[in-house]
Amino acid sequence: MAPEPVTGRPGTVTVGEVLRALGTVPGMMRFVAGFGVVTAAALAAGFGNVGGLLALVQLCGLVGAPLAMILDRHVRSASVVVALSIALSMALSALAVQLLIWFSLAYRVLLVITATAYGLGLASLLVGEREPDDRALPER
Amino acid sequence: MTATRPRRSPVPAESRWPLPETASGWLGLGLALVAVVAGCIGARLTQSADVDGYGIIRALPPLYWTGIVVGAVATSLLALAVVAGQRQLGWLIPAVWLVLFHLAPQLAHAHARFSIVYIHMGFIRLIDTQHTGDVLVDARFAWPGFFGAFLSSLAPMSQGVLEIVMRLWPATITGASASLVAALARRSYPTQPLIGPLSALVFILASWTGQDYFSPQSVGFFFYLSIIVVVEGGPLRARGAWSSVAPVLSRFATAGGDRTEARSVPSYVALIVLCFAAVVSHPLAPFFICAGLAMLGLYGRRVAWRLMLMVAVGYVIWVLVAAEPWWSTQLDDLKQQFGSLSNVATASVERGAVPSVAHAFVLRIRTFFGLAVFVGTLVVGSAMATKRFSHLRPTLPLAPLAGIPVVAAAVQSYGGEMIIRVFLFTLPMASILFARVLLTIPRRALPISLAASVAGLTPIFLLARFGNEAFEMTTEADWQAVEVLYANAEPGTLIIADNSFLPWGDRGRENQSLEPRYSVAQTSARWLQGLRGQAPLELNDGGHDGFVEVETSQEPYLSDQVIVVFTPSQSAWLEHVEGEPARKLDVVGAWMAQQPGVTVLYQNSGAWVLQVKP
Repeated sequence: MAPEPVTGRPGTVTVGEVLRALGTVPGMMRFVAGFGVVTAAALAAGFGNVGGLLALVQLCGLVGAPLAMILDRHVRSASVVVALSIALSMALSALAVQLLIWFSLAYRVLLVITATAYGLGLASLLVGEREPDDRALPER
Repeated sequence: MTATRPRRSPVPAESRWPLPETASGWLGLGLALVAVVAGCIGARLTQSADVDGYGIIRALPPLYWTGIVVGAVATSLLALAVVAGQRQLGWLIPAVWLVLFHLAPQLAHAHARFSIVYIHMGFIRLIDTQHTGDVLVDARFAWPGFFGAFLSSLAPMSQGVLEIVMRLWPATITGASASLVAALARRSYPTQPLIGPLSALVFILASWTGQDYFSPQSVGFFFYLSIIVVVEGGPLRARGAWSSVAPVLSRFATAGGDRTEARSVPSYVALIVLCFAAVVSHPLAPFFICAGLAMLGLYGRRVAWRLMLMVAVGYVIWVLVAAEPWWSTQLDDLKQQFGSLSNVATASVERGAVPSVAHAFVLRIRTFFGLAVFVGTLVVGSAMATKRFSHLRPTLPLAPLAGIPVVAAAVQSYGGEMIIRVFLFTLPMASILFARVLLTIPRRALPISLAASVAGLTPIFLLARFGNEAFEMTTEADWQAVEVLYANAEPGTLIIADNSFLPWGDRGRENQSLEPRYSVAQTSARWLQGLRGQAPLELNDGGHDGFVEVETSQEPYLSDQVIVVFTPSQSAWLEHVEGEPARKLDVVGAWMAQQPGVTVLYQNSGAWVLQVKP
């Protein structure tokens, strides 16, 4: 009988397991949600630099990450997924703040919550969508 | 809910981790690290006082240039390893030059360069204070998406952390854009494995416009690239979808024109999000997005037509509704700028009408650099359209995509900066075409050719990209002057400055009580004459009406106090761009300080902050 793979002590989570979980769309969605909660809490608690840096990561890189990962098969490039994650995060944040500005509610914490909700909402709606079958590029 | 991430085929060992396998690879990697460290430390040691009309180039210390030389050698060695089969090392080459060209020079001064960065930060703080944005305070609030997106992150930061973020921004956004350029390159030449890193390198080396600072423009450009990548990212499906201009267009791309794309719902959603974000973030980016989408539409991408229609309608509605308070008061000015190519050219030229000798040289370098790219793109694109060079033809219509932004120049002069924006949006496609031409060089000669190219291009790039440093950098004196100004200004204070090259934070703008009046000092000779008789220098009017405005305005702040702020950056603008005598504002400041009723609040290194109570 083959030995069981070693994954760390019972009840612990290894770095490898975390990274593998982040490699899936649901895993990334959970991470983004958790990061958003921590960010909002840090901002609400008045941790200026820490909260600001967390918000920078969240609003300029993470909130669009699940949607960008869904597009992975579409663009077929890890580096492009990262770039699209940044672009979509900034885009979702821009749309979120526009909504808040209309209602004169552009508060720091509210922006983090709204942009995170946008990103997670879209990703949860689209995560089950199937990409059309790939076809090779035509020969030149 | 299930994960849809597809299983990847086993990743080739070479793309897992970019560790070298040969001596040249290891040596190249080591020298690349040395180059990056030397470049950054060298740039940090730059003395701001040594910056002159040629920009930063003569102020950079020998250590920075050591970094450039070592970087060129590292490029050659890495290219050698790449040619030998270690393709994964190819990405190190653009990374090294991204740091040397776009990050290191940002570290040269005490504060983040380009004072407009601080104005944008002021807008963010204003939204943070008011929880909304008032378009009547500034037209840019009609497109607040960019500012608001950074509300939660930048507003709570201390100034020190903020300065670090601002310095990292240009390299970050340029690097992210370069990765999208590489993706387009791979799509354009799927059989050329080196085209990605090489296109990214060309893009990094040729990005001299400086539009990568913390601004809506940099993000609008990033959105544009993202949209093109997603539109062109999906698989193609055979189907006749050529437009009526097919016979002409088919000469610029080998495939795709006779096919339409299969597209998934997530990609549609991503495109819609990106398009609407562009509409609410920047007034100019939607023009270029529409132009690019129209070109792709002509090549049979039906989704491009739909998106273009959506962006166009969305933009018109947005301008009519959100920006109405602004354009309704600026209608005459906008009508003058609309649709006149000559106006665009005139406005672009007039910006440097009487420059200093040094600045004239910088302007010539910029002109030649820009022309070289435009003409090169035209020549390469045309050559690829011929039968003889048809083997170099891309699968995407790169040459038409590079040319279409010129259409935007007919629409608006954009304060004389439209030509620069056109260049910016032309560059990604041009970079891919140039990279393909570079790949025609025999493999043996490629390493030394690359090293010679980057080394030769360095002074040209530094002159073009950082040639305006004398008035675009933010010195400690600039910063302190504004700090003192705001510390002493009170509601009702009129602030007078010669031009906008100051790190205004826009404090006090929420009720327009501290609204700076740029260009007033150009006519301030008359104001000074009216105040105390003869000014020490004869100042030209320059067509500005600031003085008249100040005199005739009935606004209450005129009767309280006036604060005049002159700084070295403003003087540098007058000297190098307007052709005025050097240190003119310093002389005027010294004279003003002698006048009764004038209190010197701050004076250091050519910076003056003077309080006047007539």
